[in-house]
This record gives sequence, C-alpha cells and structure tokens, in this order.
Amino acid sequence: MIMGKAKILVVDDDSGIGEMLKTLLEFYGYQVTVTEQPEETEKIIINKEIDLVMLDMLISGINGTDVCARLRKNEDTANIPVLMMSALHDAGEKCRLAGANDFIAKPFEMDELIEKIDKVLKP
Amino acid sequence: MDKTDGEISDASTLSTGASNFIINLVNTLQEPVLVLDNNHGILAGNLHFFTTFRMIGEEVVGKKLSALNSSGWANPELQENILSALSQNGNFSDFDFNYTFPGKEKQIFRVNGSYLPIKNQDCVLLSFKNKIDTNTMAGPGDFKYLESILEHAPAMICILRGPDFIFEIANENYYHLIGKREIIGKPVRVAIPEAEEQGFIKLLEEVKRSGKPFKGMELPIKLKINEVGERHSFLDFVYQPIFDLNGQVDGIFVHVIDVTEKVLVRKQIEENEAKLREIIDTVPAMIWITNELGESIYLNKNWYDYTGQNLKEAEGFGWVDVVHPKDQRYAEESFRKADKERSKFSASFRIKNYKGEYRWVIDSGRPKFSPEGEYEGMIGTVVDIHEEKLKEQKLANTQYQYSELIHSSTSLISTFKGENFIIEIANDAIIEAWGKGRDVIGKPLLEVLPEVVEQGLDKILKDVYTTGKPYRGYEMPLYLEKDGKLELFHFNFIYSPQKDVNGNIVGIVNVATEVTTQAVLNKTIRESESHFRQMADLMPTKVSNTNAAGEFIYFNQGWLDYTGLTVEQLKNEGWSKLIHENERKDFEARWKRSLQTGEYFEMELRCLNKSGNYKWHLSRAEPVKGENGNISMWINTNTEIQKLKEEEKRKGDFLKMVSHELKTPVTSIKGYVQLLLTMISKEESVASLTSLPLKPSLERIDHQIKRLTRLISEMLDLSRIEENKLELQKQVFCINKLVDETVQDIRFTNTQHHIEVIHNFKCRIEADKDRIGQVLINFITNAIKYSPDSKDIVVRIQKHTNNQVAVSVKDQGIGIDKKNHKNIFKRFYRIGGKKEETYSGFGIGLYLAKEIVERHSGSITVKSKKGKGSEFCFILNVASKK
Repeated sequence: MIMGKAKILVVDDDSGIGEMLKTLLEFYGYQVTVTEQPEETEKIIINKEIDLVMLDMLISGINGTDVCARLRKNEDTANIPVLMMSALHDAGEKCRLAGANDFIAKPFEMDELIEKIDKVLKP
Repeated sequence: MDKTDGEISDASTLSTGASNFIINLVNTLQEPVLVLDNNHGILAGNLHFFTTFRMIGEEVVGKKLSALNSSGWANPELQENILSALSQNGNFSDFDFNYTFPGKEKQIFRVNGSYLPIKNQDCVLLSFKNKIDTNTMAGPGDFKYLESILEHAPAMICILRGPDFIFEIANENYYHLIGKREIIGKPVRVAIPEAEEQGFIKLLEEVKRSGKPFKGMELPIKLKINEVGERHSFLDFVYQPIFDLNGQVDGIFVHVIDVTEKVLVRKQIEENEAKLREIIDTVPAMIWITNELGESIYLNKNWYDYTGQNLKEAEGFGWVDVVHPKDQRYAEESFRKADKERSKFSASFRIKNYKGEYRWVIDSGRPKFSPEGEYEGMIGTVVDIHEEKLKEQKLANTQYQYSELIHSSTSLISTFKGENFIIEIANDAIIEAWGKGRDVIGKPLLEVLPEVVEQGLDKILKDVYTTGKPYRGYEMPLYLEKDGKLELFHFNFIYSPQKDVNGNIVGIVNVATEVTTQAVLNKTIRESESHFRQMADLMPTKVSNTNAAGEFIYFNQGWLDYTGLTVEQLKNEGWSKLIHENERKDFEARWKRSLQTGEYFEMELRCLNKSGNYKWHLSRAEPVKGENGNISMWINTNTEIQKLKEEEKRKGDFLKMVSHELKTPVTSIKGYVQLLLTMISKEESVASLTSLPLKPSLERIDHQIKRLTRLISEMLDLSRIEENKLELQKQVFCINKLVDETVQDIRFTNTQHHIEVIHNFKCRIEADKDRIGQVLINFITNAIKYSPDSKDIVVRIQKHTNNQVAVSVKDQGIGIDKKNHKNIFKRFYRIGGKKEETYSGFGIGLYLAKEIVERHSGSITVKSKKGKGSEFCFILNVASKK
C-alpha cells in the first residue's frame, strides 16, 4: 500500500476535531472519512475499504473502547488497525486492553500523529 | 461410867465402896428407887426417883425421909414398913403409898422395900411403882428381888469376894458374857482362866491392894464362850472395891458394859475415815474441813503441796494468808457468810502457790451436819482454774475487743432480735445515723424509725427473717427523720439472719455504710456517663473502645445502626472483616503497629454497611494513657466520609473533565496551527500561500477559541458563585429576542439537530442578559448532547402564573431517572452509569444555571423520565411596564 493513499476513518463526536483531522491528514495525502456516529463505524470500514480507524475514546453516548472491542469481535473488522485518541492522557492502557493498536493523547503533536499512523499501518 | 445412864446422888455418908456400889446399882434400875440408911436417912436415889417426885437430888440426899418437905412422906405405914425392912430378915410387905404432889395431884405408888445387905450398913432399898403397873410386878420384896433386879440390869454385874476373888453373885448378862460357865463359889482364875493371862487378875489385885477403883475403857478382851470358841469384846468396866467393917477390901463389885459394837462401829468409822482421807489426799483438788467455829481443822495434802504451807501455818484461818491481798477480804467474807448462814458458797480468787505465783482458784464449800442435825462446820474444795480463768479472761477480752470493735466501728452495726425486730445492739455510728439516742436499744426498730415502713424496709426485714436469705442493699435511698424533717440518705447494707445453735433464725444483723455522698457522686458520674454514652450513641460517628491489647470493649449505637450487628457480635468478631479487601491488610498491619508503638492511627477505608454497601470512612484511633503513662485503652472513631469521597471524586472527575473539555478545542487549534506552520515552511514563496486553506482554518481556530473562552468563563463563574461574587448586570430586554438569537448561534455550529422555537408569549424581563443567555445555551447544548439519537429539540416561551414567563427546552434524549432530578443541579454532579459517563462536560452547567436563575428570584425545574427525554425550564418575573 502506497503511503498517502491509505484510507482513514475518524470517529469523533466533536466536529471540530473531525474537521481538523480531515484537513490535516488530507494534507499528508490520506483519504479521510469522518463520522460522529460510532455505530456507523463497521459499515463505513467495509463500504469504503478503510485501512485505519482513528477512534475517540469519549464519544457522547458510547465508549470508544466498546466500539474498539466490537470491531475486534467482528470478523470483517477484527484485523483493522485502530489508533485510539483521548484528551485523557492516561487512557492508553485501557485502549490497548480494548484491542487498540496504539493510543495518542490530545492535543497531538503532528509529527507524533503521523509517525503513529505510519507505524500502525506498517507494523 | 457411862453418863448416859442417868444422874446419881453421891452417898457421901457411906464409905466409898458401899456408896459406889449403891450408886451403880440404883442407876441400873428402870424404876424410881430410893436407898435409905438405918436412920431413915436418904443415901441415894436414881434419876427416875427424883424426876418422878420432882425433887432435886442434891437437896434431899443426906436428909431424913420423914423430913422431906412434902406431905405423904411421914406416912406411918411407910415408916413401919421401913422399920420392918431394916430389922434383919425383916418382912416387908408391899403397900400402896398415896402421894400428893405439891400441885394437889395425887398418885398411888406400890412400894416395895428390900433390905440391902451391904456389909457394915443396914440399908433399905425402896422401889416405887406406879400403881397401874403393880400387877405386872413380879416377885416378893426381898433380896431375891434385888437379885432379880440385878438379873435384869442391862449391865453385866458380879461381886467377887475374898483374896481369891470368888464369884459371889453374877447377873444373867454376866453369865452371858463369859459363855454361861459355872462360876459362883469359884475363884476368878479358876472360873475364867483366860482372865489371868490378859492381866485382869493383876488389875483386881491392884484394886484390892490400893482400895481404889479401876475404870477400864474399851478394853479388849478375849473370853471363851464354849470349848473351842472365844469372843473378842471391848468392855467398859469398873472394879469397885467393897470394904469390910475394918476398912479392908473384902470384895470387888464388877460392873461391865459391853461396848464391842460401839467400838467396832467407831473403828470402822475410823478406818473409813482414814481411807477417805487417803482418798482425799490423793484427789487433785484441795479439800478442807472447818469446825463449827469456822476454823480449819483439816486440809488435805494437796493444799500443803500447792501452797507450800505447813500444818501450823494453815490451821484456823491461816489459809487466808496465801490469798492474794486484793482478794483476801472477798475470800474470807464469802466463807464467813456461808459459815454463818450455813449455806453453800463458791468464790473465785487468787492464791499464792509454793512458787510464789498467784493463781486463780475456785473455792466451794457446803455445810456439814451431824446425823442429829447439829452444824459441824463446812467442807469444801479448792480447784485451780487459772488456765480456764486466763482463757475466760482472754475470751472476755476478745469479747470486749469485739464489742469495742462494734462500738467504735464507723460502719453502722445493729442487731434486731425476734420478729418484732427489737434493737439489741446498736453502735454509736448507727445511732447517730438514725439521729436517735441510746435509749432506742430494747425498742422495736419499726417503732423507732416508723418512716422506714412505707419505704418498704419492713418487708425486706420480714423476708430475711422468714427466708433466712441475706439481703444486700446497694446505694439504697432511705429517708430518715432528722429534727422533724425527712432527709434523704443512701446506704450500702446487708441484712444477715442471726441464728441460734440449732440454726433457728432469732434475729437480723445489720451492717451498713452510709454512702450518701458517694451515691450522689456515683449518680452524677452515672448520669454524666449516661450523658456521654448517649452523646456517643447519638453521634453519627462510629465510636468504639478497645483495651490496651486492642480487644474491643465498647461499640456505640452508631456501629450497631451501621452494621446491623449486636455489640456481642462486634466484640467477638471485630470489625476488620467488614473492611473492604483493598484496605483490610493495610488496616490490620497499621493497627497492629499502632498497638505496638502506641502511635496515633489514621487511615481511610471502606466499611461494609448492613445493606451490603461499602462506605468510605476515616478511621482513627487515639491511645488513652493512664496516670502511669501506660496506654489504658484506645478510642476508635470511624467517621463516614462517603459524601466527602464522592465530592472528592466529583472534583477529580471535574478536573479530568475540565482538562478534557479544554483539551478538545486546544487540540483543534493546535492541529490547524501546526498544519499552517508546516505548509508555510514547505511553500517558501508567499505567493503560494494563496493555496493554503487559510480562511476556514482561522475560522475554525476562532470558533474553538470561543469555546475555550466559554469554558474558562464557566469556571470563573463557578469560583465567583462559590465566593458569592457573581455580579449581575441587569437590563430590561425582550426574552423572545434573546431566545431567537441564542438558538441562531447554536444552529450555526450544530447542524445535526433541529431546534424549533415556539413563542406562545412575548415579554420583556429585567435581568443580566448574558447570564440568562448562558442558561439557555446550557439547556440547549445539554439537550443536544444527551439526545444522540433523537434530533428534535423544542424551545418554548410561554406565560407562567403570577406574571412570570417560562422558557423551556425539551428534547427526546436519554432522559434522567427521577432519583437524580435533585442531584443534577449540584456542583460537579454528573449522572453515573456506563452510558452517562461517556458524555463530556464539567458537571457545572446546571449548577451554574440554577444559581443564576435563583439570583434573579426565579426558579428552575426539570421534567424527565429515563429514556423518555427531558424538559428543563426556567421561570423569571416579567419586567414591570414603564
């Protein structure tokens, strides 16, 4: 897979974050889809052949970790790389336990974000 | 001679021999007898004669019969008969003699006259028999009669004649004495051969030679009574010489009285007495005998051994000398009084023993009388009772000490005798406590202290008296009358039954202590303790006590209420197992360390309540030290800090949320800024800047900054409200217009939800426009936030009662359980639950909204059901028209 062409799904209920990530990651050549509806995650992954999910930990109405765990249980999404994010800087352990490949605390350093995305995409 | 035979008058005119013979003779006769000489002179008369004719022997002897100054004695028949009798071999006929006594009394006597053949004297013996008896009289009045008299005389009589002492006459008794041997006409040594070897012949010869009579008293003699047998006798006898006309001893009149029996009896008595004395001397007691004068005539050996006195020292009243000087008077008086009254006596005094020690003795005596009833003195014993006396004194001393103890005791001691509870003993202390005098002794208790009856003491006493079970009273209040007033006292006391040797209850012993002060103090202490206990029980804090070793001794009500366990269960099992397992090990280790070191203990822990929930507690234990500085106990308090903990958690959550909320816009801003910086550094020419998404990026940065500002403002508001420094900038404005503007703004940033505004009422209000806007934003953003699935939100402005306006925001979201309706307006409160936790927010929005509305004299309400959406509403006064 050629870098810059990878398809990323951002799941975050805060529109500000979603918009910012879309702008930022598209600048780096990724194809970005944003959703504020976590229940649509699987559908989007399958329909849009998503390569990586960026999943917020705290989404109104649902826990990001639950979404992650759900993905892992689903045959179709079990192997999708998941990078979880949260303003709670100490949530990494929880996320990894839920099946996330990696975790990044908000606010991000852009270099670190790109680095983590690359790493998760190319283990 | 035996005097008991009677008085005789001495025939002084006769030669000694003749006179003695006559005297002996007449005295043996049992009837009145008078002996006259040939001149009718009275030679002798026996006692019977003188008493019968009421004469005094000494006055008549020597006088002529006819000269007696009494009628009758000159009787011619009497004179004639006397003359007849005096003529040798004269015939003397019995005749009646009519005698008139000086008192004109007459009596007839039968007179018998006998010629008495006394060698050189012609005498006549007249016997007078009461006429009544004359018929029984035997024999003619001659010598034979005399012989017959001799025969019947109680004495043994014989007459010995000549140098060989030939038996002339002997009476029957004499024959009997010598075993009825033929003796008349035989010399003594032939007739009674054994007499010579026993020295009797020598005695006879001596009488014959000297002419003096011999009197033998109780002489032992052995006389043959038959061929083989002999008799041992004791004899009183008289050998009376009989003189012839020349004054030579011609014969011997022998008058013998057998006193064998008397001697033997006496000897027996003497032997017995000797034995008795021997016995007396060997008995341990000292024995004494006094005579009728009170003089000591006998003391046994023990006395002499004991006192060291000798016979001489002890005789008479010598015994008094060894009596203790202080006791002498008493001892002597005791004896003398009994001696005088001839009564028994007993006296205890001290006498000095041979070592010079004074020892206590008891001297007892009783009078002694002869068989005839004559007082002979006293007989008694002296017994050493020193040891007993000492014991008695010791006992008396002990009793005295007990008595002293009772009387000087500060305890109140009394005894009540019988079923009427007569006060028998009462010491000074109890009499004082009763407020009475010593005169109460002997009176019934319930009469002395009538006031105790209605206080039930009589029942207690009766109960003890009937059941025999002791009764103990502890700090018993008792009103006693003092100076006419009832005063309250408190007593500790015991009523014990008093029993006699047979175990029967005869009374009650009361030993009491007045404890009024103590009781009052104890009451105060108890009240105080009860006070503190109540306080301890009322405290929401759980209070417990342990001893120095950490063993529980007390749990307050708080513990019981919280755990639902009993004190016993808590004591036995302790409460460490109620501690949450996360803290239990730590607790046990730290508590153990505190017990060892005495260090103050403090930790927070969760403890299980009776509903099965763990609640946070602050557990503390403080050692309490005794006077010696050692730990006497620990006071443990467990204060529930669940609410504090929750508050703390809410604060923690709040800070977490603040950080989250603040970080979200910052993340956005930072993302744009970093992107722009990267792009600028890549596109080095300014011209290429035009290709940058500059405007939308800056707009988004601006939006996020506004969001950040609003968050910061809320936090400032919070601290202002906390410090009561929230200032309202009031103005009058149209509420409808504010709602429209606010909704418009929200619609601008939130395109997902449909917000409908319904104006049922239009009005102006006087308020801080920004703050009210803030409240409205909070309502609408909450509605949006908590309605992830339902997008319709309705904002309605309508008229409320009392000239008020109500603005409500209704959503179709997750709703709120009714139990949380109050809590949601609390600071930092965010509803728990898995779903709710996923919502971001400070947890201060509704709190601020409520504070703001209430500061506008308004109110805030919520209508909601879980899963059925919520409707929040604030109500404000409509501005007065100007």
